[in-house]
Amino acid sequence: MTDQHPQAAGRIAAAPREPARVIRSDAEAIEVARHLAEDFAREAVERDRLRRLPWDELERFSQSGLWAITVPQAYGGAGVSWVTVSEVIATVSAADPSLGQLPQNHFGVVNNLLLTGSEAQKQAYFAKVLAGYRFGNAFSEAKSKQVTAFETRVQFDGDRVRLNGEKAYCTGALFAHIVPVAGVDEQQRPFIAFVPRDAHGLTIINDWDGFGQRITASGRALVDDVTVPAGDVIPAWKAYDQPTADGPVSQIIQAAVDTGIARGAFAATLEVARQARPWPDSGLEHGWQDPHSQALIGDLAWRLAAAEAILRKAGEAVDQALAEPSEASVARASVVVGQAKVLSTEIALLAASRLLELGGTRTVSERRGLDRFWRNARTHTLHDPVRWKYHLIGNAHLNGVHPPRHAWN
Amino acid sequence: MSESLVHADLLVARDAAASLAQHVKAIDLNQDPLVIAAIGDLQVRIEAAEALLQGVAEGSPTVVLQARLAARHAQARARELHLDLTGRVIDAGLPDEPLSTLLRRLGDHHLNLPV
Repeated sequence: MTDQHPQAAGRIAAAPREPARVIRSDAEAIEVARHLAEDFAREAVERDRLRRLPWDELERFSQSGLWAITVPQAYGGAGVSWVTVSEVIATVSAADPSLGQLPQNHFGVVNNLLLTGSEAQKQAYFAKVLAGYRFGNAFSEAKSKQVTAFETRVQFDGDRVRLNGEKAYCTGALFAHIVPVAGVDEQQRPFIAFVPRDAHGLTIINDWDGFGQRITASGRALVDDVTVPAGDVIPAWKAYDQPTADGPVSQIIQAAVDTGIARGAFAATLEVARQARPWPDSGLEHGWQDPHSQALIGDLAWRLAAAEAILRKAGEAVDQALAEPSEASVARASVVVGQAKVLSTEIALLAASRLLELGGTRTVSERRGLDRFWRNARTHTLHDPVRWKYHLIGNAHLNGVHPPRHAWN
Repeated sequence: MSESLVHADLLVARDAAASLAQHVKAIDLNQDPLVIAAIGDLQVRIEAAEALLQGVAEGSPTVVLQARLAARHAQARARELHLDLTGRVIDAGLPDEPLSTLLRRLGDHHLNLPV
């Protein structure tokens, strides 16, 4: 039935043929990310222009071991810090932010599993993650009134669970081995079911046509009477019933992607500004001597440095909230991650726009693909409205109000 | 000297933020969504400068310059918001070089690094 949907995506990722590399430390994770980013940068323009889905790149990405770096040491992983995870995501995103975004929900699910899964579930699924399995996501509802409202139903029936719903913005689902599907039971409590990508009744539709983040395949998922064993369902609601870092974990990856876009745009800005012709009225020999360009680049430079510094602080706050979860530590993590979201959004958009301004008309050639930074920044920073992050931060500072606990804070 | 400029600007920004918090509570504006967001915006600028200041001790002159610019920005935003919400002007920090000079120096550093 699944393959009969006219829009159903045909290709399904095969299980890893050989176990992925197991990364053992934070430093190793950073080194592997830098190496992969060089690889991913080579065809980033072409992938974007052709909307060429990154099947091969994702295979190299997950086989590198980077998708398993948050698996705790007790389960065989490196259990790296969130400062490191953020740096890994920013590094990859500077080269290609679609690739940087694709593991976002994977890391989120791994964290939710850590917080709410049974011991048996953690043993089983962390082993899969270490072996190179990729989680996608079927979280956002296609038709609910608010993003936090779930309409997909989870019905427990003995040792089986039945799922029905329609999902949107399913980044990563197309390329996943396992698609975590979020839905609520009759008490409106959210659960996450681990659904094999080829499960009967699960249809992934790649109808994502966004002008940015083009190769994320963030399309829809139809969940039509999918059934899984009850042992493959985790009580995700427990991560929000009590204070945990689940929301900040989800959000910090967004800020890391945008910081990476800003880094990529800044590097490209320097490149085009060095090659720019001097304006005739300046009396200068070279474009790189232009005092206006220099000042505009200086403005980008400190803003980018500020976004990076706050992202590191956000990672530390997330680590603290994971280590010692409390109302205060989780609220603190939400606020600092919110600051990272504000600064990364601002600099990603500014750098992507100023790149074209300083490079001049020659930079708008489609062949060069330099518009991708702005398209990607504009698209990805829409994940959740940054205007409410200023409010979240102000309300905590001014009124002592802790941010509401959900996956967008 | 440079580090003291950062501290001076941050002091202005922090004092202004504290004064503004008292002011908006006193006139019952602390539940206004736009005022709350403006306070949040200012807080981000202060936290950004403080985060960069933490790197100054072991950092290069470039890091100091980044922190100076972030602190100047926080101070300017604080004074602007203070004027907007209270109608009163507050003093700036220590005398410093023009903002444009600092921006150009940092930009020149990045643009003309040996590549």
